[in-house]
Amino acid sequence: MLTTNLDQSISVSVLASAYMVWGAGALVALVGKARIKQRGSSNFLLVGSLLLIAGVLAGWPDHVTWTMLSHVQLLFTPLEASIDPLSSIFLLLLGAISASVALFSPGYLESYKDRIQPGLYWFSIYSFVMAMSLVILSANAITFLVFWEIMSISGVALVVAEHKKRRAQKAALIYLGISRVSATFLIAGFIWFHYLSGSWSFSEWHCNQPGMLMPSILVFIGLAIKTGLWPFHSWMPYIYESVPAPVAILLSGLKIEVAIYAMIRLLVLSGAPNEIFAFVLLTLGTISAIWGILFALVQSDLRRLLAYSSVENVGLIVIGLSLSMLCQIHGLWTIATLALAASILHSLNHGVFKSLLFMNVGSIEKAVNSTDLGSLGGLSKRMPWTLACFFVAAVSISAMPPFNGFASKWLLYQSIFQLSFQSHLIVDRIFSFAVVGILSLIGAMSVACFAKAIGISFLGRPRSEAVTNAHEIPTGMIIPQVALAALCILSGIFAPELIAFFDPVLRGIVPAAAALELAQQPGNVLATLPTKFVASVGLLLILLFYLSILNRKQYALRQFSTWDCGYGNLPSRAEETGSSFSQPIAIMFRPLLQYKVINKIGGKDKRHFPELIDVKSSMVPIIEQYLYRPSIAAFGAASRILGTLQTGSIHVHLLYVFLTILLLVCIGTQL
Amino acid sequence: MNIWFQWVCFSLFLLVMPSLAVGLIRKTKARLQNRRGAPIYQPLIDLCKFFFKGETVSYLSSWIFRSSSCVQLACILLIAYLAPWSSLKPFCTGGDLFLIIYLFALIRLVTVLAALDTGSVFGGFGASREVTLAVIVEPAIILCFVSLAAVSHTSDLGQVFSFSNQALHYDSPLWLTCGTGMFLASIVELSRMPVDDPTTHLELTMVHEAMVLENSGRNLLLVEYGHSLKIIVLLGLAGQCYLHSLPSMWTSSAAVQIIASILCLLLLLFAIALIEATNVKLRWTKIPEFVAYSLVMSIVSVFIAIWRA
Repeated sequence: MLTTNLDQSISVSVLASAYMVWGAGALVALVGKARIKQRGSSNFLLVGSLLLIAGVLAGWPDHVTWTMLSHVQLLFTPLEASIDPLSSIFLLLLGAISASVALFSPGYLESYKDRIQPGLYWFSIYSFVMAMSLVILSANAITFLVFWEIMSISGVALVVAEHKKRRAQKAALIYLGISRVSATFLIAGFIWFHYLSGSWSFSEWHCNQPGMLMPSILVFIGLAIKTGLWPFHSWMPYIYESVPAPVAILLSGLKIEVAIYAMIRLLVLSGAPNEIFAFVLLTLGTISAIWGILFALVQSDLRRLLAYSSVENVGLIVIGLSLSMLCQIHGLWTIATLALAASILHSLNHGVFKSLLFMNVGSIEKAVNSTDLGSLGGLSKRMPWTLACFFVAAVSISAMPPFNGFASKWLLYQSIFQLSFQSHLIVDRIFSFAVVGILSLIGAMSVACFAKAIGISFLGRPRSEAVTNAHEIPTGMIIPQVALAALCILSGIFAPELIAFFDPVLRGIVPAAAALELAQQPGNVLATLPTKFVASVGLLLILLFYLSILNRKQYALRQFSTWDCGYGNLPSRAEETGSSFSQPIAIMFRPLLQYKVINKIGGKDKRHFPELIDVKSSMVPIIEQYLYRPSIAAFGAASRILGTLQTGSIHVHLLYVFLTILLLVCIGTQL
Repeated sequence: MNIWFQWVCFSLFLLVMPSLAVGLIRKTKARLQNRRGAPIYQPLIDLCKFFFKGETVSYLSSWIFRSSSCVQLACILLIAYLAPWSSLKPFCTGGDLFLIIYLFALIRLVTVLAALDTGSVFGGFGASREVTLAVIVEPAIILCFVSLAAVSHTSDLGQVFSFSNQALHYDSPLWLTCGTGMFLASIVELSRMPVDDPTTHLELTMVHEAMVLENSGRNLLLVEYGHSLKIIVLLGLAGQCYLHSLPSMWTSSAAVQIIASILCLLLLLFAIALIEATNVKLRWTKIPEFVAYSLVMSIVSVFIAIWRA
């Protein structure tokens, strides 16, 4: 263990103790008595996460590398971990999210008592969280892959936690499949990197050197599959609609961010391969963002809506990353740092608000036992705390000032905007204006999407019996939600300070020669981030109006039923539904969504007195329908043909072995 | 001139002008249709009437409904003080372009939520249409502003619209296309005639009116005042674009600029009234085609900006 001063040794020992606590928790989950399992596991997870945060903060912002189990050598490489500012930032997020999962899980699992085995569930959570944190810490490719695989496997165990549910089984298979494909790309890319650079260590890989383009593409695809970037997003809705809420939080709030971290570490911090690569990434990110939010908008299930919204947010993050690469190549260092800050901040923010949203959805599920928008509505008075937290999260994710989503989106806008006049290349300018235009479209659509999510699920009349009997969830589950909501607000208002915290990371991408020049430039864009101003003045004005004009003590406030044209007590069926709310936009983007409405009106005199009215709308996820399903079918057909080779007879198989050896010997002698 | 005096003048202008603007549109429209019409100050009297009336809220509504109107007014006031829409405004910095766009989006979000909160059938329809319009009109607005901002190398709208900003001097084509794009976009954003009819209460025609159908009393006062403030802010921005396209404006004195900007605002209000008196409301499915004009204008201005920046 390499330590240079007291702070670092404290930091490393606190980190080590965090892992010990987590390990103890995992042990308790495996062998503890049923009663202790729940409480004990969640407490150990909470304490460990808090220790992790403390350890990271104590060591900030030093760079420490140490070797775990130095006698274990995999491919002549020890398991090496290192902590630097970038990994510290993501570890802090990990600590915060896993702590809130620890608080949220026990209450949620109460309603799954007979369907989930707590021991297995908690053990998988521990191995998932520990593996993720070690992926973040790993300093070389072999270490990374080891923990990456542990992460994938425990992820599968978590997806299938509710193992008797048919949908969960299917989801686990899909998840297993995509992790295999992703790992294949990653391993191929890593081996190629190793072949070119002669080292497994991340610090010696530089994507901007000649020949590094192909391995960079492989690594990018491997990571993009895990983040769910377009066109690799099709698996996300299947997973998110069938896993327990805490697992969804870990998958969308943390696992995506871990893959983003790997992208930043491997592709952005080490220099971008070339311009075309950056432009392709920019295009993929933009398509992903618009595709994700469009599909999120038309979903009628809250979980699927959130899954597609993750696709959108990953797209936004990748836009920032590709912009940073592009500007690094062009030597526009201010924009390169700004865009990188935007991506890092947005991935942190996404981790926080997406976790909060999944917690809210979990609470709704606990109270109503459904996440289908068609059977929700009218929860506002029955679950006021959940509504308040959902409101904060939705407002943050649709980037309203002064919440945290606004801060990161503002930085993204600023960096693209700066590119539009600082670059001398016409291509850059055209791209930057196009991306600004599309970002504003995305902004408007995400307002629509989350207005729908709040409006249809919480407001108006109850659409089902279950809602009428719903109650607020227990306080223990509200606490983590309130904490994350507070984090959304605070990290929005104090975003400039938070970004100042990233400064060591951002300085890492700027070469020494440019750093001096950068320091001399007048006017820092960050200083103009207006969240503090909006928060203070806005809150003041709102309070002023509320107390002076709307204060109900001053005048008569009458309660009455909503205007119904005199028909009297309209049923909830008369209200706007989720699909009718988004129908005009769905019509506009009909070709992309393959949106169709089928009306069936029948009866003897169907013009005046229809007896049967049936309206159905249908959509087709086109990437899945026309790309993945045919290619999976083709693989199936090909393997059936190959299957005829499998005769089951040992003699024939021995013949295959003999022929293969013969072939290999021939090739070997030829070389 | 004393800066405090200027701020007081500006605030008084903000207090009175929105209602007068609405009154002016109604009066002009009435005269054009051979009616006598209510006096111009009628909307002001209406606001006073709302203040002294009681309020009725739905059983179904939650805290979102009543706080929404406060948030709307607070946001639009912030925009009015930040955005450079009037030369009457004492000074012009701090109005960040993306902040202003997102404050408009926040207004839209809380309006839509308040509409859905009452569980009203009309509110739901209006909300759905409002977000649809926003999806097509927001790119137009943002591209107009961004093209202006890119040429002047700053996202601070105050500096972009400042008459001492040499980058955009004599750049009439850009200002004209942006002004037209903004004007057409603000017709949509303000729910005025070819897109939405602000005078009827038919569920087939309404967008904004349907959303605020449940508001009454002081709650309605906040909403109505906020909406009329939005009219002058958006038309003021379009008007400023037109003013900047006149080369002689750049060299004239502050007093002339103030008078010109008020005149320009009045002219645009007259134009709105003229459109409302002579046009019928478009069918809902035709509206994207109308918005396309605004989008085309903004794309033209983007091309100018790419060439100029």
